[in-house]
Amino acid sequence: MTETSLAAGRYRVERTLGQGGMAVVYLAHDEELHRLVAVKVLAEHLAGDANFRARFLQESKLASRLSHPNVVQVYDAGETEGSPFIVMEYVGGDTLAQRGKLTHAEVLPLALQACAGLQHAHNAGLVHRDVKPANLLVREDDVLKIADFGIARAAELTRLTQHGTVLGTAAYLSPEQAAGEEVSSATDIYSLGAVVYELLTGRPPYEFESLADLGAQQTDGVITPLRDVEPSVPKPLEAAVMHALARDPRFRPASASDFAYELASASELPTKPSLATASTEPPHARTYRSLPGSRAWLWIVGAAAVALVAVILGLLSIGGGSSSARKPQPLPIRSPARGATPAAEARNLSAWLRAHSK
Amino acid sequence: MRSDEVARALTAGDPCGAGSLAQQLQRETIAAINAGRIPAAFQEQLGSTVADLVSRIQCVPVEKEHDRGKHKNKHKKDGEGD
Repeated sequence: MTETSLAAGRYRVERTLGQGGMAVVYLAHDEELHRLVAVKVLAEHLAGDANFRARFLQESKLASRLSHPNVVQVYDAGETEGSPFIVMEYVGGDTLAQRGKLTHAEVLPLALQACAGLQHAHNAGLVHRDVKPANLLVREDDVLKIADFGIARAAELTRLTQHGTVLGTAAYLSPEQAAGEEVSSATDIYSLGAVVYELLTGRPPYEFESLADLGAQQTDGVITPLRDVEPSVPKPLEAAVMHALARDPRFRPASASDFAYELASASELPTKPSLATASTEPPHARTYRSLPGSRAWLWIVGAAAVALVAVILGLLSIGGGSSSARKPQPLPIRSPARGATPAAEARNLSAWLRAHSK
Repeated sequence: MRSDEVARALTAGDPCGAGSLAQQLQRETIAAINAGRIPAAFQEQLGSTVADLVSRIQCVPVEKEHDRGKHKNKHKKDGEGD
């Protein structure tokens, strides 16, 4: 690459758009197709690692298969003068990192678009692994696009995630990622949940000093309920976001579409928003029926019922009211009887909840 | 209470509806636990019981019912909504 162009002059660099720990992003003009593009050039200290270089290009090529209005399109990837680069769709506007705290009415359309983009990628077998506000670009017309598919995977595969930049993104890492365990699409759902939490409250789910601190909090800590930080958030929306932030990936929404469905139901928005940018995927296929959007009230009623039970249980726990109220007391609580049939088990559970809600 | 609804759906011979309700109960339970609204001493029992309930409910097509069940089912369909 020269100072002003790369790929044998095809891309004329106009200015630098941004610089991170892994790469520099330029605004460039595609001299063949006569359009503006964003060109990401791998940082020199990484370009020297042949293994990483190969992974970077391989993952970029996988990402180039994605074509969706909510995913930044990868046009080209290559290597010039020893520096790997990716040519991408140029997205004017800003990132969610620059937007700061938003109202839930502003957050929801953006979150639904992010879900749509993630679902598309997941359907193609790609997990982003680094969903964070800085990777969610928003155009001036409020169309959201997810950037940098494949980059995080390339970094992981070459054990480069411990570089200094990781702390900036750690707030959105899922517990399984932080623990170095296998990741799946559920990882992206957690990260998006963390982004939504931060957009709504102005702070990430966990505030931490180090990765070790984060890991400890993700293992033993409790996320401050969203509405405790921002009371204007509707309860069903809180439930949807907290569902995405479940510690165990199995307990999160089964897919990005399901998460979108929960968000839309919680906000009484259409289940399938009419925006071309929103999800057109049906909720995750189930072995039994799911609730249609027109019955969002069921979800609201259910959330209210659980909240009522939970509040009563919460009152029980702080009944002692001392300064050590945060420490759970090792009460010898007996589990609900299992029951000979599922119906009996459900009835036993109801009885148990009533007994402990008094 | 959601668990009552699950029991009612099962008793009425609607395992698929019960499954949906049970999964909804599970989502709500998890959200409540994550929101810190369920005391720690109750979380294990509540979470595992709900998970067990979800796993035990099988959505079996109604067509597979046995002869003995056919007569009973006619009575049970009363009042069953969507």
